[in-house]
Amino acid sequence: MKRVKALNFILTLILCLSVLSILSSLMGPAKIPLDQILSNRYADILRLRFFRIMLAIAAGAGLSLAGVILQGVLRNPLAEPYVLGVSSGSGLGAVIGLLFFSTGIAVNALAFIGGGLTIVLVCSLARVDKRLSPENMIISGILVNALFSSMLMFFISNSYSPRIHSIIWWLLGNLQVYNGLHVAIVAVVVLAGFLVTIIFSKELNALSLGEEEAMHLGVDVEKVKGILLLISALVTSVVVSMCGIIGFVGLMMPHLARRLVGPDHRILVWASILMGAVFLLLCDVVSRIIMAPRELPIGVVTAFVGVPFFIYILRRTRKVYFK
Amino acid sequence: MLHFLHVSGGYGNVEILKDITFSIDPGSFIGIIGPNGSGKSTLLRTATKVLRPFKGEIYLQKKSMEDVTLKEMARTVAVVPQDSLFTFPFKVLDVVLMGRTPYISRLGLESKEDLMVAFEALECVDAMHLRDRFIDELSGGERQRVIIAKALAQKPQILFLDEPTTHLDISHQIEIFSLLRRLNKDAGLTIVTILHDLNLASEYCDDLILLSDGAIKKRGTPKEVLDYRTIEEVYKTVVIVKENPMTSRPHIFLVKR
Repeated sequence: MKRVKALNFILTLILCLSVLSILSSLMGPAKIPLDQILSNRYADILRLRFFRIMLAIAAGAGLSLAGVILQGVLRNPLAEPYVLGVSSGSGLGAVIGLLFFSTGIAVNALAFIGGGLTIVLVCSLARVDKRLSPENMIISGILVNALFSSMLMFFISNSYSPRIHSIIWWLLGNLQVYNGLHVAIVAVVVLAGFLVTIIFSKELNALSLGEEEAMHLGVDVEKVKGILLLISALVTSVVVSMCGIIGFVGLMMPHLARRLVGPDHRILVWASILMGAVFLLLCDVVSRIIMAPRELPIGVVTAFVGVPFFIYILRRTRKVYFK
Repeated sequence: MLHFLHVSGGYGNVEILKDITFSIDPGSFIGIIGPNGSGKSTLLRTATKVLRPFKGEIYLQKKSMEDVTLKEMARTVAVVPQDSLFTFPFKVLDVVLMGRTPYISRLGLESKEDLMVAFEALECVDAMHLRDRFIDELSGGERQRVIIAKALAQKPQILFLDEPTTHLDISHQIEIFSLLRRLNKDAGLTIVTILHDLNLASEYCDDLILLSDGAIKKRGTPKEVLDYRTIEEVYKTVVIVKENPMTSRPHIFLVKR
């Protein structure tokens, strides 16, 4: 019974996502009359909107995936994709890229490398006795985050480059892409990360009892933790390097999903990534239409839309939806 | 069933267990006692492959522990900790089903059989009525019974427990230990439990291992191990040992300083 309901819920989310994608492609500053949707005149606009929709879906899913992994592995409800310092590491990489290499793929690449190196640094700081303890990881993450944020602020405050405006825009999150390849990279990494996480979702359940108890259930804890942390790091870095820092999604969507489908990761991972995708797509639509033709930074919208919705869900559901 | 041969071990570079040799026979009910820091939990962690021994050999069912995979281990040995932490609000049945983790394939969901085993385990600890409750809403005694059910769902041959009744009142202590006794007598489950309460150990265990400073000080029946000289020496406290008139097992009385 429970499985049927979970399946229905997942299918409903997929349906929502499809409908929202279609609606979203029709909305924006440029109005496209329905009867001319297939004419060549609007092909470029539609293509850009398609990239953008795909990126919103991939980024929303990716951030939620990273969030659900980190909350499970670190057993901390405050864990989110940026808890291990990826955001400031990527930000630093992006600033260096913008100041020294102009724009384009170099910035994305440096942002990705920055995020990846940050995770390596945090993990090596947190490693004691060949073991990664969740507490150490969180503390190391906070330290590295603080250090890199201050370096980021140093660059921003001391630079008179005209490009500095674009770094601020980047820090607020941005889903606009002009290159299909960028979208494809994010989508492939997120999808691969999702598939591997599905394979380890039983282990994630066991880990939520504590690491020693997971071992007693036959789980190779250090290996599983390593793989899952690597996935969350890769996914977060690649999303941040393309879209900048989009807050709230990775923290709140796993919580929301847990309220709705319960804590079993075999369902929770699916629900989280789908809800993340739906949510970010919705926020993107809002950001494009609410002050059109101007666009709001996506990071502003996620919190504005997300917080009231989250409070509503918190107050309505006691613990989980399924009985 | 489980053999330790000259095992020493501990954490990092700190050696806690020193040259431990003992064996556990199938069907026994063993209590591990000893003062704080004497190595009881370290012994349990070494016996369940959480810690690797520095020296010596451990055999589980005639197989060297080095060659036993964690999964094999989890199908043979289950552990009930002092108190379990739940990060997320799982339901009781889901918790018990986690005991099936070593049996479920990577992508598989629980089969009918897994569900049957879980129900059986819940029935066994008299917690069937709790199956749809949230684990974090149960009382201490109920929760510990559910954790034991999870361990039983692993279909183990040895059940290790680390002070399973520390946070429970006397009636729940008796309840848990009567349950363990029943599992031992009826199902032939081998039980090895760490205990602080010497009187509980005396009443329920057939065989006691007394640890002191990481070494086995004495091993034998409660009568053999719990004599006042040994206790006073190991615990550095004055005690009086009398016989329980009901069971004629030794009973320890504390003496005020």
